[in-house]
Amino acid sequence: MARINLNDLDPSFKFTVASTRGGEGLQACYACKACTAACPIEKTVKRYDPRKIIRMALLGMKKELLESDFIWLCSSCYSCSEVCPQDVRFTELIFAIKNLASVEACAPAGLMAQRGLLKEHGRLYEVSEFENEKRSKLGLPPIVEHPEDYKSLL
Amino acid sequence: MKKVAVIGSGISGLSLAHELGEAGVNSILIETLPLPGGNTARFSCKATDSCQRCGACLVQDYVSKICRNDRVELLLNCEILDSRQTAKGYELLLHKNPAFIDHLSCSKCGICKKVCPAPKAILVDPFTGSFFINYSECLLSQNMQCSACEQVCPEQAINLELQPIDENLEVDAVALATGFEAFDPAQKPRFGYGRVPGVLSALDLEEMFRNGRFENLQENDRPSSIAFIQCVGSRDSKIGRNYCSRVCCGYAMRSARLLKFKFPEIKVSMFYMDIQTFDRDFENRIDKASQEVNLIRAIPSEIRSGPSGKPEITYYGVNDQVIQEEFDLVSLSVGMGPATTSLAGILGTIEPRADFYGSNSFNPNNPAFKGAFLTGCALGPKTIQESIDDSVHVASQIEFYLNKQQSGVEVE
Repeated sequence: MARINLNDLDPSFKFTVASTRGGEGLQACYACKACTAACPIEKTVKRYDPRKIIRMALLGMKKELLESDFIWLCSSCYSCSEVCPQDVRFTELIFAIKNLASVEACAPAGLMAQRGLLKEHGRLYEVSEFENEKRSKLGLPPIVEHPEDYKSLL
Repeated sequence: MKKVAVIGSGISGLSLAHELGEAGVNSILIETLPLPGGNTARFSCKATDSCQRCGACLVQDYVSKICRNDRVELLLNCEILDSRQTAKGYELLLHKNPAFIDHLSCSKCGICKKVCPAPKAILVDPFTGSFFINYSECLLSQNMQCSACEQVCPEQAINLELQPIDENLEVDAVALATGFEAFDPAQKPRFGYGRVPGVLSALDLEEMFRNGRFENLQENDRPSSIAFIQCVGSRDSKIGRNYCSRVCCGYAMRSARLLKFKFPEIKVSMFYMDIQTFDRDFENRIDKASQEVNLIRAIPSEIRSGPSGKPEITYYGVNDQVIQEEFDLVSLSVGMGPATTSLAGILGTIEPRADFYGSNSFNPNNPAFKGAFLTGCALGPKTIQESIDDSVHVASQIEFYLNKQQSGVEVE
């Protein structure tokens, strides 16, 4: 286990998360582990542990958390929210953490590439002349890309 | 002579009436059920080789004290239909249901309970073994014709022809000792109560202790493993109960130690999120318990029927992995909720609300609550000993109030 220096932690990080949309429940956690026991991702990827992610956020391990790869593994199945007695709403919380990570430019390259595609083409797969030609042969109308809305969103 | 109505004959009501009697104040103890003792009468003694100070035996003491006390009148089977505040105090409209069973001729044979079609209509006093008819559960109260118990009684001790009486009662002060209602674990479906065989609430376990169900079992039929799950219906903001019930860690640990004492071969596990008890002996008890009981800091995500039909608990274990483990019995440590009976709400000035009475708007200094007092679990979760302490305090408050009233000085 890597050594953590207390001086490197960011004590205000928990407030940042708690004031981000979706992260309001962070400080209500009792660490009862019901979320981890219910999580389907935890069963295959051991380093993904909702309870530990909450602890890391509360301890202020901003760098470790935002630069980690595991925060992007959540499948948004809401099992954790379902069993949580304290209404922490972990799925929303992990969205908040992911949003903060994107702001800090910590999002994984794959996701950033997808973002670029969305911005450019308005969809995850580029539609070229080749596809439209094939479609017209089948008697289907051509697809026109509308990236403008996504540009304004992103 | 000043008179106080004490509503509810649980441990708080009993001890309050007793304390008032000791102080020379007459009181009327009103109980809807045919038995005194309330919730506390359902608990069993948890003594191992030494007393564990659970307090369950105190109820019996107080019931016998009350029966000997001339200043306390015990009204069983009695409901309050209406109430209003008067210049003097309160006026209550009582609905007295008759005691259908004549205890002088009853031989306690129990045939009536066997033939009764309603499950909770005939109750047995846990201390004396006497039988009582709980009129609110009886089919007669639902305008149905039934006289099964009357016909089978070999002593002809049952008379269902008796009619209820309505009566007005004027009192100088009212004390609500309406207590609590245990959380219904079926409201948390993921724990499988009522669905998975072998999942019990802690009250079911108390009943098993009291009836000696564990001793009666053959050695092979006895459960070999039992799990206690804490905080079912407490510290849970999803169901609006974001408070600690104060007693569950204590009673679960006492039950665990009692089981371990009687049957050392049973494997006992306790799942908790925080252990919170408010008892001065607690540190000793947790030391002893941690040697005998497997304490696991994890709340299970789910309890379902395992491959062999026993309850299977899914939890996140100490070694950072999800564990699915089967237990023979699971006891859900249910928390306390406010009493939902309409009884307390009938007092016009004290409105019924979903929360405990004392936690929000009850204020003894408010003129709207003049002459009304609250004691015990009506104010919030309390142990048996704390309820008695509370009643001693409230008894002195009531005495003070009545003396002020008598001397004509306005109570602030």
